[in-house]
Amino acid sequence: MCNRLTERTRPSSETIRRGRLKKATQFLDAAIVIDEEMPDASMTLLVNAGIAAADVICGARLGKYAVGENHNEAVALLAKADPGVDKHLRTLLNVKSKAAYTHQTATSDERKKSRRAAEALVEAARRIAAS
Amino acid sequence: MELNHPFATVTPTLDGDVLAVLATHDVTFTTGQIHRILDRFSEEGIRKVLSRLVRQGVVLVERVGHTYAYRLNTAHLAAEPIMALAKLFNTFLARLEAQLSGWDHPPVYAAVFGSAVRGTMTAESDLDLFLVRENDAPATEWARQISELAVDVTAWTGNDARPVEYTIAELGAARAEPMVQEVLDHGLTVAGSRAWLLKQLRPVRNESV
Repeated sequence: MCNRLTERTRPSSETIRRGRLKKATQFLDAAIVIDEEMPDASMTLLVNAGIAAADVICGARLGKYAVGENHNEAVALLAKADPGVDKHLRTLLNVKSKAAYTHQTATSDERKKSRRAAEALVEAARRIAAS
Repeated sequence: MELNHPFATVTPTLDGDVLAVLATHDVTFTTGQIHRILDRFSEEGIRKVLSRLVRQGVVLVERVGHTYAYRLNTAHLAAEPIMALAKLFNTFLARLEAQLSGWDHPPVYAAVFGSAVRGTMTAESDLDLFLVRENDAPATEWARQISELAVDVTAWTGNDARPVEYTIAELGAARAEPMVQEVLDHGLTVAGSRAWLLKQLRPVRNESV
């Protein structure tokens, strides 16, 4: 079978994983704190929290993490690292552009789903980093 | 036991750490990848362990370009117990979650924190548990639940459980405690929502910015 997916990845290290986990937590906490007053900024922080958490999970499980702009590659790598949590990253990446680059405000449903997804990813990253 | 090194329950050698990496996922790993994941031990040491495990048939090797890639042989008779051992930390957390959710008076929030989470746990370490209960949870019943939990955790792991308890009302006074901040920053949530805890502790975090 042809391997058409050429992953763009970078080697991970304990230092990188620790730093990314700290940022994931920081982004998530900031997102929760400003959620009511600044929903779109909060959404962007949730996306960043999820991406940082995914880097931790991939680094801890596979020794590498995704770089580059291709969302599918990042989700595919996360699915390899921890099958099941990739759906949370997909949820966040799906709202990333709307939150960051359009004039539309995130709906309450999008905010709720994004928060759940970011929380799940950060918790998974914490658990994997600890195990 | 050392939850961060589950194979230490049966072998103190590097073999256990290498197997823990391979058993976590059905993908191939180079020695360099395993070295980066473990963040200790030499690549040469890891290579020797892999060669031994390949001879035992429990690890498969394939050549990829100029290097070798290794994976757990999931068809091997030993694969199932190896994978179960590799997941001991998750098994512990799942068991804890199940027990707490079955309580007559479940905690509003609970987390594992301390050395188990920092990766510095030893066989002699206490297992730190942080629990927040409703203000009106009956004290006697709550104490019985905590006592049973401590006994069970020790039976599961061999480590002494050290539960730290608060009521919701007490959290306000405890919010500046370094331990409470550690739970927030690094704890592994096993009941309730970390976002809830963050909101309870938020005023002090704002003041300290």
